[in-house]
Amino acid sequence: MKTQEYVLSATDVVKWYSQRVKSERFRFRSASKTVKAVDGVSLQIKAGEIMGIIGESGCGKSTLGKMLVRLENPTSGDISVHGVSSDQMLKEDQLQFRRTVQIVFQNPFDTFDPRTTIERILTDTLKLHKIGETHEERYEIAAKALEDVGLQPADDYLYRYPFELSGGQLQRISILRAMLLKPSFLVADEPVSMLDVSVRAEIIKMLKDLVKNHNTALVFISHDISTTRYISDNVSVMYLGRIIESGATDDVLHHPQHPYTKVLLSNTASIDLTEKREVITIDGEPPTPIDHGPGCYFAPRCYMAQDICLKEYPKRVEVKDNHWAACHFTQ
Amino acid sequence: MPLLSIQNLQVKYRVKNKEIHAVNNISFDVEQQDSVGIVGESGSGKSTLAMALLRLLPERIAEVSGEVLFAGENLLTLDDERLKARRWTEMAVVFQKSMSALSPVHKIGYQMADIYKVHAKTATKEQAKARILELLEMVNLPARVYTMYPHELSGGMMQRVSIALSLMHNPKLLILDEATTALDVVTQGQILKEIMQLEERLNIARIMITHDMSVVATTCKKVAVMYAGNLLEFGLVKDIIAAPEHPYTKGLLQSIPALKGERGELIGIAGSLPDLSKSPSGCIFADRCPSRKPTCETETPIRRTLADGRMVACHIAGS
Repeated sequence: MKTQEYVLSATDVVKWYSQRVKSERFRFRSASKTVKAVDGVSLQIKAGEIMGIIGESGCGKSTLGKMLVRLENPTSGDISVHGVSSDQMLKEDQLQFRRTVQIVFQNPFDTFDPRTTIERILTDTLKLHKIGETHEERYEIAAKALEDVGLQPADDYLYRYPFELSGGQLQRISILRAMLLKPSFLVADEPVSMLDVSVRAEIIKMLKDLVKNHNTALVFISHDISTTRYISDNVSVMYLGRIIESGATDDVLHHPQHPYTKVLLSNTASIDLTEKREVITIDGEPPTPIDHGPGCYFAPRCYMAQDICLKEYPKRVEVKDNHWAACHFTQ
Repeated sequence: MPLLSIQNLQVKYRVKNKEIHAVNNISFDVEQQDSVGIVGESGSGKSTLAMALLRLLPERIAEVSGEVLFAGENLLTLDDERLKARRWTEMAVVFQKSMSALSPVHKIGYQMADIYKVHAKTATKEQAKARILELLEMVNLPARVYTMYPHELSGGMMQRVSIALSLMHNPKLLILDEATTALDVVTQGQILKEIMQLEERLNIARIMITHDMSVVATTCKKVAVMYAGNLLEFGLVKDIIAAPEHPYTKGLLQSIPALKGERGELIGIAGSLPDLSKSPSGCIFADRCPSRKPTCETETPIRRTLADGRMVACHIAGS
């Protein structure tokens, strides 16, 4: 079977939220509108592959991330891990599913219970998943994991509380906790955006090493294109709930096809002063994903939009092996 | 004469039974129509510096010493009345979270008119409205924003309202404290471009506080690199980015991932910020510095001016 090659495959995943708004015609009635946060996303990720997902805030990247680990239930569509549907896995053995997929969140200060020590944070995870017989054994596993990523001596960290550690250290522990269970699929939702640039490098390196060593598939969600470039093998660009371009990192970032990708790249500030930059400016901000017409979602802001863009949603056009964009003008 | 001249500015926070040296002996000048970017990691004292300049720190817990000369007057010793008259008409500030800078229960127009009247007491309602609509147009906002509430606006629009507010009384100096950090790249690009155009048109000098080196590189003329309350390097952006002298600046620039070129290893700076309540025996950056020498740990480096006019506080720089 073809699906089994992939650790994770999502087909046409959709997440709609309903929103109550004041009715325009009747003062005291309310009408329901659907916010299409994620609107038909398909992804396939192989073992050991790192897929970067980039996009502006509000484009649905975090919702997608949460759905991939089933913290949110998709409205329709299917997510399967190793070819088995996640619905079925959750029904049969929830713990087993949680052990295969894990997530790392953006804010390391919020992800831990402030009243438990790092030791408990790490060993409780192991205990819940019945790894290790005794507490001592679990303690050893946790200590070894800490030392492997350079938090030495481990005893020094294990007895501390989360508030005693810096953001960078906490984020490392957060990644560690997710990787302790040796998941086959990990989602990292903006893992470095809260941290200083000087610490980011180490976290990115650690995440990359851990994932490659364990052959884990990783979805790296970020709005920072340059950071994503350093870690990911493939990149997908999202706009208003849909992936509009996808391909190998260097193909997408150096030969962008979709006008939105071009805009995004041209607006990314660079420290290279010698480089000649042509900034493509567009008006407005991403609209809320409610009731967009039949056409391309980016058309109202697009600098090269034509009539057809407003009438029809463009099909995927494959430019190169594994690199496609959804735009009418892709060559 | 420079527009703003900061001389040996020092800020100490008194907390329980210790003193925290948040800003340590900082001096630099801002000329007319200059744009200075202040960069540093979180906790390096950038925001404290800005707050101290404007005398916004609570006197009970913060001890500010040194001199801040604005057009020849020392802002730190000015009496309250005169300081109040200077604020907003001569210097204005835009903060990071504009969402919390505006009242959620009043319309934008009402709040802006309120501020307009502080310095233009005799103005009529019509005059206030005319000025506000002019400002909104200046920052590319539709006129309907006048009758909207803050929650109806997006993050980028809110930030534009904040910028419009700061320009209300034609200030000569604008301080942007992480004003575009919370925005998306595209929106950030738009706003930065607008700010630069306004600056040229209205003759404004700008101090821009950010942790994003690339924003400074694209929008500022000069850059000040801060670390743990100390100013380590100050000079023209084109000099410093092309050839950083201080090891900290070097490290900072190295850790920024590039969008083009080789995808090499990213190199971070090991270690973390020192305890600011203890004054170090030598250079403040010594224990994280990759190229430290024995003298770095015992002697505090003095600020030196190098041949290209940049200022650097390091024993080994320039050699």
